[in-house]
Amino acid sequence: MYSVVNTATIYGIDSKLISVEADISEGMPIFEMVGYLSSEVKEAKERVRAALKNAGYALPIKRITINLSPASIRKTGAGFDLPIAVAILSAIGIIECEKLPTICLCGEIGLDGKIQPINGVLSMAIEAKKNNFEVLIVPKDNLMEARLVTGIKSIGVENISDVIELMNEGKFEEQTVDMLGTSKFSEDEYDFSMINGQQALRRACEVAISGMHNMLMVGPPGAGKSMIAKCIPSILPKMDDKEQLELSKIYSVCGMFDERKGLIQARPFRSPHHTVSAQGLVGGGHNPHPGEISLAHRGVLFLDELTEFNKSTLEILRQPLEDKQVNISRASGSFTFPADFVLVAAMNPCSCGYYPDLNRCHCTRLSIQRYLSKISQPLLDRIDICVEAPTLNFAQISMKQKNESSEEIRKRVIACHEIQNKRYADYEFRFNSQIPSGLMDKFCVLTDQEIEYMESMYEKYSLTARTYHKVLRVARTLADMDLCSDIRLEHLQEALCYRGLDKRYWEEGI
Amino acid sequence: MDSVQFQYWFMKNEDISYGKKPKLIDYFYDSYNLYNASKSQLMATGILDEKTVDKFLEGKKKFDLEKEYYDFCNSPFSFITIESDSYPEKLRNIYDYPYGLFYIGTLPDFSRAVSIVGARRCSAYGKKIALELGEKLGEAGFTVISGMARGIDAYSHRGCLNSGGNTVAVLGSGCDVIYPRDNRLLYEDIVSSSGAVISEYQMGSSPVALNFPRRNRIVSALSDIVIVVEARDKSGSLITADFALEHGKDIYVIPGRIGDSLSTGTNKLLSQGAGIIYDIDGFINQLQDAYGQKTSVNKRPKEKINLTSEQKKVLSMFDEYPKSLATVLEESHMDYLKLISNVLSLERIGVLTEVFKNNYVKMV
Repeated sequence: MYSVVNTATIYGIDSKLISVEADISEGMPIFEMVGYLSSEVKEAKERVRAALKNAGYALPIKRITINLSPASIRKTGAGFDLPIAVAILSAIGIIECEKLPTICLCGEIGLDGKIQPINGVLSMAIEAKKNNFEVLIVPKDNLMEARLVTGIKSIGVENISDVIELMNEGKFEEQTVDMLGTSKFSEDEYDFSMINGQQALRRACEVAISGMHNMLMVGPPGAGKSMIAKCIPSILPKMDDKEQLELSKIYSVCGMFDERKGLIQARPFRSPHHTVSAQGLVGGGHNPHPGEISLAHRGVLFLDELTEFNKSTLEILRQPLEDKQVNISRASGSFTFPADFVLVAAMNPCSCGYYPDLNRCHCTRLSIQRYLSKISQPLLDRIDICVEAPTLNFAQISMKQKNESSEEIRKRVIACHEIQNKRYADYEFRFNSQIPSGLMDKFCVLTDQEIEYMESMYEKYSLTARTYHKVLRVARTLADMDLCSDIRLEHLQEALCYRGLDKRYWEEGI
Repeated sequence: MDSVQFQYWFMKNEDISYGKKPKLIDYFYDSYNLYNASKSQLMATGILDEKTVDKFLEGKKKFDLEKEYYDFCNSPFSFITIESDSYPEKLRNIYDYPYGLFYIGTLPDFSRAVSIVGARRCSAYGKKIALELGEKLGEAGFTVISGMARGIDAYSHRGCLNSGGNTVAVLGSGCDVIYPRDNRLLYEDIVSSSGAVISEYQMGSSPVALNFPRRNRIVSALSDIVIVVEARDKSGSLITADFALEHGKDIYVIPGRIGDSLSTGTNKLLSQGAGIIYDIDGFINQLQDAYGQKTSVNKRPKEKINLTSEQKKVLSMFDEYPKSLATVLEESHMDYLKLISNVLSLERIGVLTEVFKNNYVKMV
């Protein structure tokens, strides 16, 4: 009167195998579940009991004990309903299946016995395949997602009676499913050809993506900062299969995966509202789930109205920006979520938005100072490119001309990325923005004339060692874009124009 | 006992308002008599009501003349009252002259004094003009008077200090209270140069809004000429200008463009008949002629700046108000890199100044 069934639970963005044991013995009629369960897993008891009854199978009047092991992992999610039901049915002999040890299953059960879709099937399928299971039984609605993983038989089931029938027959054959649009690449909704004017800003975006530099746009309201930001994913190179799977896994765990489209192919663009909480941004919760920065993995994280964000929330970005991943430690364990994104931020120059136009701006110097100092220096230090976004006049907006499309820009970006990949093949980093300061002399070589120039600029702009290195990194990217092996004066000049918001604008001594 | 001690006692007195103090001295002739006046004598003046008189007499008893004065002498501050001969003659001439002034530093001669006032939130252009005016006036031997507020005031003081001239800051707070606080360095520089920071208010008074219009009357009274550099429609500088009219001083104005909010106040003054400064050197020469003596001003030849034709073209696209690099780029259809390199070289020469992220102002 004992049986064991395999399933998996989400752990971070990966999955862990869980075995569900059922034991039915003489004693008081009790349905007991143990094994470090969260409340939604405990509720499975009631769902399973009702579902089995409605499917025509009464639970025996005996002592039923369910154990989910290993007991050290906290179990969350509704995916345990199906394995629990199968374990009980198998223990009481309704299901007799020899292949049970080679089957992994998951799914939520409704009171009528219907099997409901769950989150994170992709990740579970990957884990099941890794552990050499032959069959994966998932809710029918999750079938296409499970099929993205090849090498394991995925079977979709609609209700509990189907499962019993399937198991007793012992014939596990894959049904055919229609996949939608897997071959067709969805066109980007936003394209740089939609942007009129804003040459400087377009250029800055290209530079930023070419070297994977983080970027800050400063400009009055209505300058088109958000619009431009939305176009940025379209100039990023396409993701390879590994990256697509990685990203799809994150979205699947968060329940944001549209399985009909297959693996996610478009670079993500995440634009959280400025009221976002720290957990929402970097991930968290009792059982940590990925936050906005992980959803922006391999894509763009756009923070509009940067100054309106909670200061402590922004500070949390510092570590992920360095490490390209975020470590979250909770009582239930330590989780690592990938977070390799380009940060694009936008802000107004002051609270009314029009500084330095003194005819329209009515902010005092103190209020401008207060507004701008909402962003901490350490965060600004991680932003290599800072650019202003001016408002456009009517002629520029209504101009009907052919603008360069994202496709053309992307070609140049890819070429630039290839140069960098080749150059940094022996190193851990991949892009100019990540050159460690120790290797600056190796990759950013200046001639005497340029050193002299930078020396005079160093004093004029009161640069620091850190800002100087930032300028050099951007100059390196500019040189790569020009297919130049050496950094030249014009690259330094342009890079100087992109240097960060300077404290001297608002902390002017008298 | 020294009469100065009585003066100090009356300066420190807070029971009688600033306005009534000179009237009482007028009546009793000096603070010694006032100190010894009986209640009935004080009531007979008709200036004070009974409650104030009682308070005044009560306060007098508690005041230790010797000790308080001794303590004050050990502080870096000084004071001057209408009973003293060195009280500025120009102040005596106005209707509501202050009984006395606290100050720190050295009180200069106010015979050649010009005050410069203007907006706190000034433009880069206003800053440049204020600095230049302060510097050239200081060089020509004029005392530059202003209010040590942010913006134009502070730049005029700084300009004057740059040329080693005398400058006097009249505060709306106690003269030991530095307001705004970011002007601390300026305050210290004024004190350590041959200038002074003065205030009619008690030591330690906080800068309440009410004090500033009264402060402006002293700024105007101490000077011969009031120059308004930049002022908005309802600017405090216009109050100074009103006082200047009342005191019969000359008002000069730096003209501005129509539609520029920082010029509405100044242009209004122009329409009411204020003098116009269109050439700073010419204005100062004119002033020196008027004062008869010509203090030696070594006229520096204007630095000749050699610009390439391309640089000239780029420079011509910028203006006296902040213009962003991107805007110029859209307007000029110039190559981005070429524009940047020219702008940076112009900034290096000093004819362009970056006032905000990639926003430049012409400085010629």
